[in-house]
Amino acid sequence: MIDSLGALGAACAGTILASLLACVPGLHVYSVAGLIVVLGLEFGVALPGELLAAFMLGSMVGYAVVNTIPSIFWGAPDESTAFVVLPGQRFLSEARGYEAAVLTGVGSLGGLALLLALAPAAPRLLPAVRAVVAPHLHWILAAITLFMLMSEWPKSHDRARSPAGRLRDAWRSPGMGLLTFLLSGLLGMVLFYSSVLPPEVAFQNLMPAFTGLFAVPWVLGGLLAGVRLPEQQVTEALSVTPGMAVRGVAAGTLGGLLAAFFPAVTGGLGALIAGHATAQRDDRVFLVSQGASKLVYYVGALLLFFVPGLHLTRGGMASVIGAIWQPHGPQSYWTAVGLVVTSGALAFGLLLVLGRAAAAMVSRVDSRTIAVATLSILVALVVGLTGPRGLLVALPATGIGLIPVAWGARRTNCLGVILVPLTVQMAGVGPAAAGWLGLMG
Amino acid sequence: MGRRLGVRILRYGSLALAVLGLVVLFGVAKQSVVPSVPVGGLGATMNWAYVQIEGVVSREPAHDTESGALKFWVRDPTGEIMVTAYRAQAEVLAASGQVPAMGDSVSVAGTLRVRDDFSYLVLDVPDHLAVQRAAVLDLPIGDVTHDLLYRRVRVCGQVRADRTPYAGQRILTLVDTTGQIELLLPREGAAPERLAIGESVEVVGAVDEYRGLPQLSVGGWEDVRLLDHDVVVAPARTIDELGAGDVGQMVTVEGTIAWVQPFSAGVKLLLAERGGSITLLFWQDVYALLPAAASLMPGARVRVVGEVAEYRGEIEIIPSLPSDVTVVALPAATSTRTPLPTTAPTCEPTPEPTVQLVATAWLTATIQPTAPATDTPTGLPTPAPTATPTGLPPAQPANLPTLRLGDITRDHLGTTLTVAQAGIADVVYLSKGVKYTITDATGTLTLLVWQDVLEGVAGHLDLLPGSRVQVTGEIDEYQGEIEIVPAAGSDVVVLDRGPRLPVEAWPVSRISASDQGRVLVVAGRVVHIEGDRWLNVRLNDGTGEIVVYLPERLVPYLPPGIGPGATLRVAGQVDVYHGTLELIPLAAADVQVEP
Repeated sequence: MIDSLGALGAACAGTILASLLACVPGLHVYSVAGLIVVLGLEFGVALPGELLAAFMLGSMVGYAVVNTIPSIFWGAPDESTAFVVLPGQRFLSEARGYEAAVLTGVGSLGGLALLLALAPAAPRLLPAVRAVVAPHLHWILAAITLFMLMSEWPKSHDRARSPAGRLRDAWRSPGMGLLTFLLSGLLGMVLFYSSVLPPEVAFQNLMPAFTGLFAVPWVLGGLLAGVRLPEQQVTEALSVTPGMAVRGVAAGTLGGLLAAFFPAVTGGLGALIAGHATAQRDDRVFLVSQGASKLVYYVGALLLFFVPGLHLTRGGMASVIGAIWQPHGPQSYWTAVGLVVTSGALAFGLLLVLGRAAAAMVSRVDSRTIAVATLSILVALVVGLTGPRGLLVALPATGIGLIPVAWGARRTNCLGVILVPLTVQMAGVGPAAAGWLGLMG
Repeated sequence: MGRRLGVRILRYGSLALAVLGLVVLFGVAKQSVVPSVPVGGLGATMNWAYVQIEGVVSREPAHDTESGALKFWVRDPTGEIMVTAYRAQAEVLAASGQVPAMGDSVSVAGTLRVRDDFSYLVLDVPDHLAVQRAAVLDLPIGDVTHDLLYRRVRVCGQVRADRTPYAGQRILTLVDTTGQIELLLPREGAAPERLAIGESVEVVGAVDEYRGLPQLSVGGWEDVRLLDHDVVVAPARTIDELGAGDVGQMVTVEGTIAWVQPFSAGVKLLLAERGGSITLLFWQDVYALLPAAASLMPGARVRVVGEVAEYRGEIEIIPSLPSDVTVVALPAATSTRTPLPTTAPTCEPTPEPTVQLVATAWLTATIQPTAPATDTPTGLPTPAPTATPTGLPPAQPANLPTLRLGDITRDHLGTTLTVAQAGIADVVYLSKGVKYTITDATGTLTLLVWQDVLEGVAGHLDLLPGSRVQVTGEIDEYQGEIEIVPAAGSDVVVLDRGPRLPVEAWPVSRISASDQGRVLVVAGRVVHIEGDRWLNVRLNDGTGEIVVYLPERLVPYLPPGIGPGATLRVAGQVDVYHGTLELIPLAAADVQVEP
């Protein structure tokens, strides 16, 4: 690594920039990282690899901690799905959005502490775990997928008169979840096994798909909802006991670790599994666990890239860094751990500041205005990073991503976009499956 | 009402957008052609791209036995990249015979992985590898140059060296008359049993280079074929035409040995033919393995393959393998021979030079004089007079059986007999005497001369390889080896001394390392003496100092009066030991204390 002060400066800069950008709804840190790489190559501006890695590391931490602000403050549900509203949005409706954001921040700090505690054991433990797990990844992923699909439950609040109507209502959400999974899986097969996008932007291959699957439907949902939110209260005291915080951090960290270690399992899916495993029901515990899960998923996955003897590329950020710079031994690892801790503390402080600002803004700014601005940014990013063909991918992805929003199914079903191609690939039948779909000549 | 309509539009619109969008996307994907990119154009933003590379396989494919993966490298004009096929794909390639070899042209499509310092392509679909086998060129080794990089060629040659620079990688040096080249042998599979130094082989491999030199990389053992005939490795030359311009070249020469002279690191011979002569230098490691070492005596005719070298302005030939030396005719024989091979290298067999010994009349054969007359310095221990080269033994002790070496068996143990004539082929100095290997046309025998006997041998300075002796002694056996042991100095008669430079008295300052092996006389005052069972005596003759090493075997027979301040006259062989010049007498009789 370059000198520690330089790395620290880069990490702090990354944390601050990513924390600010994380407040923009739908703007993912992976897209920002890709944009930085592209612009750097375009204009011949290249940070030394070590500094860039530190910057990206700080960005990842900043995003993981502060990204909770747009999900709580700008992701307001409409009335038709109010009964399945996430706890964060329920807090927002009760003028407690800031408290919800801080609770997730507490979870992030807890997750960070657990990551730090696990750091000394990781270089010894994880390579062995990987060696044991690697040959079984395909069926583990298939089992996770099956669990995700089977744990979808009927959400209809209507009661049809006829048995057929009730059956239809009962299967509407799970059925649409299955359809979402199937269609997103097909989309993933196209992206993995064909050359729709130009090779020059292949490192952002999934970006238009993810934007369409997750970001745009969220923004469109906000655009359609147009709800008015109450004036938010900024409280200095959190309504959570230490015991609840510990339970939330433990559950969230478990989910985050699952998501970080297994390919194609995202933070949401990891949290889903961990939530079922630990049976957490309390909204405050849920918020704390979400904060821990998100941080451990994003930051833990990136740290796997630095673990000596493991050097695992999980997540888009590790992929972006790996194309430019490679860590070298324990020094890189411990430097990364140190930067993560520092960036985490900084990001938590920024969360408090930005959370107050968001709380002050949210009732004054029309959510439709924010949604339109966000949508414009997303489209610009897709076109800018991947060209017109990126829109060709983002459009069907948006359609697929809207299905769970419109039909009340889980949005995690959209993860079929990576679960399907990765599972069939790890099972050794990926090319054959692509051949059946006519994707490989 | 409006809200309900909006939700309905959202629901069905999302379904329509998803399905129609996917249909369009599939259509576009099916129409898309995998982009072909130059290796040099691969960059960080192309990570995960599905691309096609076209080029030549630039390294031998390697199998990872643990993972089952196949790896090979493809080079195009802009760069080189590794291609990996994991176990499933590698098995399909192997089963279909589509595993490429170095030098093959390939077109391969796969997923590109870019890392900071390394990029590679993952072959996802075996069918996305198209291999065009390279044609094989038949070439002499000398024509294999950088211009043929990655081309497949077939060469024939003789294995001249065999090394394993690191575990798993065996490298042979192959030579023909046009040059030499290194072969990188396959790292997997079993090599042919007979594949060893001296064997002639035909090899197909791809041209590679290492440190600027071309080399051949052999993909599989099926590309190595042992030949049942010898490949000519050096053109035939006559001795008189060799000069400084030939230094570094491999040549085949034939000539008659004029003299044999051992030195500390090996043995030198003078090879003469048609008025020309050249030094033949055997390093000790080669000489020790020579099956025909015993036959390398003056008068023997030999054919030698070796590299021409120059040492202090003198041209010499240095064979590097025992098989480089062929004894064409023994000293006492005449022979008819076919001419030396002069043809260009070919994998087809060439007529072998044959040797027919047509006479073995060793008793009557005429030996040509080969050495200048000895100048014996006055007052020195007298070297044996040069025998008249008639080839006939002098008078023998009466009533003793005379045998040729090949006739001596264990049945003669304990009997005393005479070997009428034999050449000294080798000398080993023991702590109590000297062991000679003597040879004639029928065999070899050990001649053991105890030091007390040696002290009495007239002309013992000529008991060197190349000299001929008549020996009378008792037949004994030691550790399974039959030996003849003379009882007195007079039992060993030098019939014909080997070619050596005259024994001359020199000032110390004139002696240098280049005189190694020569017998010289030095007279001087003892300035220092040390040792226990052996002695190191430092002599100063006013021009310089030299160490006289007196081995243990002759210390008991030294004359009295040797000590600091004494004046000695010593005849001994010049040697260099750890960089220091030494004079080593053969016998105590060679050391005289002067008044």
